[in-house]
Amino acid sequence: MKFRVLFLQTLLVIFVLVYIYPILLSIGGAFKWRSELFEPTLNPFPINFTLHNFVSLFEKVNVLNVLKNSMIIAIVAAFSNIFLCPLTAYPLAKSNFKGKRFFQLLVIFSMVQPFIAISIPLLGIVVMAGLQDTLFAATFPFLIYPMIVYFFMQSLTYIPDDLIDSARLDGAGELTILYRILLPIIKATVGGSFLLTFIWIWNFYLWQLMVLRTTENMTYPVAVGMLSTSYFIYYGEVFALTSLYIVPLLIIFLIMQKQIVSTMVLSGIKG
Amino acid sequence: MKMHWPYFFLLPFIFFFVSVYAYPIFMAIYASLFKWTLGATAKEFIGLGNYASLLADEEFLVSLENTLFFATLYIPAVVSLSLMIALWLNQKFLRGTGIALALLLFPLIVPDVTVGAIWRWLLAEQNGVVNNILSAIGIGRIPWLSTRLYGMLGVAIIAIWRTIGYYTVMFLSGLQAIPQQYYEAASVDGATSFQRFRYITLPILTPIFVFVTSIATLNAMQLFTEVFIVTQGGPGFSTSSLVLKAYNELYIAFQFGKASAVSVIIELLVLVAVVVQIKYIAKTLVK
Amino acid sequence: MSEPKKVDRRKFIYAGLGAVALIAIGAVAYVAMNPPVVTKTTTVPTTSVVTTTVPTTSVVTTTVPTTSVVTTTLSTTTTPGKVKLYYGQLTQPEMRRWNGELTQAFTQATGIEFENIYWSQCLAEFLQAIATGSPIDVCQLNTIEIWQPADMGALVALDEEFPDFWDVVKAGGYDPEYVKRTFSYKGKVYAFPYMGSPIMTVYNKKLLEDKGIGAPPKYWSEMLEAMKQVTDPSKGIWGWAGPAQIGGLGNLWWNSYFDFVPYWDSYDKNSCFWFDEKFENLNINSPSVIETLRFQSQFYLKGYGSKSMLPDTPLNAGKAAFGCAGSWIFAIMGMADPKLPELHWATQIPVPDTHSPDSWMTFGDDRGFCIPATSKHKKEAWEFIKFAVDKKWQKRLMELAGQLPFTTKLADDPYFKDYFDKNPVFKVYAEAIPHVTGNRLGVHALELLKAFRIYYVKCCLGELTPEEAAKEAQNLVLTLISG
Repeated sequence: MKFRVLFLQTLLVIFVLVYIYPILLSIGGAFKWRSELFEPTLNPFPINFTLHNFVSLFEKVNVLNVLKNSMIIAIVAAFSNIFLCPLTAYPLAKSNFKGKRFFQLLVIFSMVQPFIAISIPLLGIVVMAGLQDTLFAATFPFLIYPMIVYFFMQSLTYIPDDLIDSARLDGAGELTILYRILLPIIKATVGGSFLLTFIWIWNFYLWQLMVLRTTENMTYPVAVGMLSTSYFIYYGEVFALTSLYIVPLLIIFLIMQKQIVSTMVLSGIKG
Repeated sequence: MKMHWPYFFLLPFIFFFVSVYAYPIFMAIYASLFKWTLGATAKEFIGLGNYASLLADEEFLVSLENTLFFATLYIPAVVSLSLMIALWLNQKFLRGTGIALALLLFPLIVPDVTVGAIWRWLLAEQNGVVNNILSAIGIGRIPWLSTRLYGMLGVAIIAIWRTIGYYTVMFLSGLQAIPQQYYEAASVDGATSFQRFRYITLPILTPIFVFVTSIATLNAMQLFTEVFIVTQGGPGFSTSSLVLKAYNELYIAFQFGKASAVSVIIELLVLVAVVVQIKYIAKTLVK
Repeated sequence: MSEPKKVDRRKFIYAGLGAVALIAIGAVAYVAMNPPVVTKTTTVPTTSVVTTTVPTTSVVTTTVPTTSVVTTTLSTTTTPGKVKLYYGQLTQPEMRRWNGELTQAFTQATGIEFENIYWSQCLAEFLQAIATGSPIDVCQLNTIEIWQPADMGALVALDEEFPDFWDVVKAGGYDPEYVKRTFSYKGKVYAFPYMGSPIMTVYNKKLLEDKGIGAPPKYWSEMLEAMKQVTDPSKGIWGWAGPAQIGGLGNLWWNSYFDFVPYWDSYDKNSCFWFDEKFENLNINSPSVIETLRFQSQFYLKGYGSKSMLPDTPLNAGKAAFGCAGSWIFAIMGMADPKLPELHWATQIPVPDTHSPDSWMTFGDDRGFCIPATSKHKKEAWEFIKFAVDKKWQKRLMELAGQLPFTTKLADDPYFKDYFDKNPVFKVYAEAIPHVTGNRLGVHALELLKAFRIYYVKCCLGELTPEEAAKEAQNLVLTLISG
């Protein structure tokens, strides 16, 4: 038995290392000179260690400001999603009302939109509202992800109705039922949604490039876009930027993963 | 009376839908009926002309084929792999599963430029790591990025590598809903781990399975990033995808009308695929 | 059922609370993300006339005009108070720096403020801005990018709108004929040139020396021979760098623009005129294209250049013998790794064996200042343009970005002598300016370069002969124009 544990454990470590090897390459690349950058060698670590990429990065990009802006957008969107998506999913999963089918189809319909279809008219709306180049405009299209609504619909459907009915009999209002009773049961879905939304918007450069165009409101993908021009990509600086943000992101992920990979026994569903 | 609460709950979504989706999608469908240059005030009504020219456009047909080919590779691979990894990470006795999950998500937060560069380096024909390994074990060097077939294969590998964390998170969330007591009771009754998987895990996991498959389908049909950053559509347009075609129409040819037509086609395809999937899988798997 | 009145009230209370909560959250989020910005206000002179002269160095020769006096006169604007110019500019770090200094200096001189908007694809973002109603007052567009907006009427015709246009052109040292050839559409000029570079062969001195090749090649056959000797795939050394950004036979529409067009120009300098306004003279299916294709496809067919896309062009790693680039590559390389520019040097584009080496021609990757037709501050934008093309700023651009002003006597201009002494390779580029021929790619330039790229790639992969490729490319282009 112990052998099995050891075997699976080492397998996990090997798998993870192989899996993130490409990421290790970019972290190692942050410390390399450009002439050494894409040498055909397996070793991700530099022979001629240098910090000049970081120096150059700080000259070109206001690293802390970019981190702040990206964090604001991602966290606001994530919280908005875990608050508003269950609100939308709950009636669609758990009640019968006229037009439920219609709204379910609306959710599915908005889920399948390729972003490129809605990008230009959406930009038009943003400009008309005078919100161009604000962080709010960068977050706005992502305050409710239809995919996350669908995710919550999924999870909520499989909670037994008796639980809800008994809560109603006890006099709880619908909002209380949703936020006080149901969400704690599907804690993993909430945690997962937070994480997924955060990740999705963190890197979604198409929209952020369209909306954010000045320096103060620069987010991470926009900063990377600035460093990748037609003729020359400032790989050193891009790798340096990525490496710098790995630490705060790792912290956020580790905090959120407790919601998902929990080791506690969940006792919400009565046997 | 109490029956009205669903409408109030849906209010934020309705407001959101109208401003973020309804108007832009209406514009897209409307624009697809015109020959309309981006930024121009004059536009010419051509009815279904954009659609007709797309069906005769070799680049569009190649993009369609590529996207479908990619979907058939990507969807089964990513769903089964992420399920396996989620089950693996769900083992209570393994240490470091939290960090493993966090690291699994890293490819999604690294800038696309980096992912593209690293993979072009790994898949380089002459000195790439992958080819070096392949030639060492006797398979030989594969022209990853200069042919259509291997280009799409490479794109599929990169897409699976990049997005697997996403689906693993979804599966893990679903796995957490299974109470330990079920497993404990089954072990007491003498069930093997495979039997535990088949009779406890799998049935409870079915809804999440359907969900993940439909999300994977959605993402597969909207293939863009991997193609854009690695092959830019490949030699010529041989590894182009549908969304890349829409992007090219919009930002290279500046044809807002035609780009909207491509988008409408993508929407319809994805809608049909997802709806059919949800209905079919739900019917067959729910016993 | 059980207590209808109570439920009714509760429902409304919930609804009301929910709505209030949503609004509150929205407001808080909005304010959190848009904290009131403290603007550094410079006191704006509300009086109407501000005149500044920007002095330049004083060496005066008879042939080169060196004093350029920029006078900004701002008469009473219709909206009293601050004027704000929305300036669509390049997003590269070195350009941001130059524009930052430039706009600050202009604001100090005139009180006009800027909203700096950064673009990576310029024309795409420009059209997007017009489509969505975003204000733009002045922007920078490439020579191949101005046709589409000019055709749509989205750009101001500078020579028509501003009577002093040609004076400024001549005072700046630009050749009016070149400006007309490169920046005009249907007889009107739509951009003021301010930067660019002749595209020359950039070669790796060390790689050539290691193989005993003394002088860089002047003829096509010499170039093929040199590449043959240098190429060593096992060491990752290529004879031909391939296009920028992803090397190999990637699909970026402008890849052939840099790699193919200079050689095409050297074969026949008149043939680079792809179009005139009536789309006549479309001569892709011509001996000049066919022979150039035949030559350049050898790079890939013989393995001198990588067919598969690479993370970066090997030129940027010092691992390629030849590539095509403008002067900016030396500035950028230097920023990434000081060793890189030292390894390289620039030389003419080689000519076909049957031509004389001095007859070589190339194109200049020009960029000009444009004013959108929707701008509400055209006069102020023009004052800014005049301010920006002053020699002081041309020199600063050279120092920061390695971009050259396309003035006719640049190489001999004493104003730039100290700069050329410190950076001799830029003098090579400056001396190449007379070899630049204007490009006229027409309204569908980007689309067509992309179409051409498809057949270029097929030819380089050996799937089509040069004759077939040229013919197919011409057909596709004609279809795209008429369709």
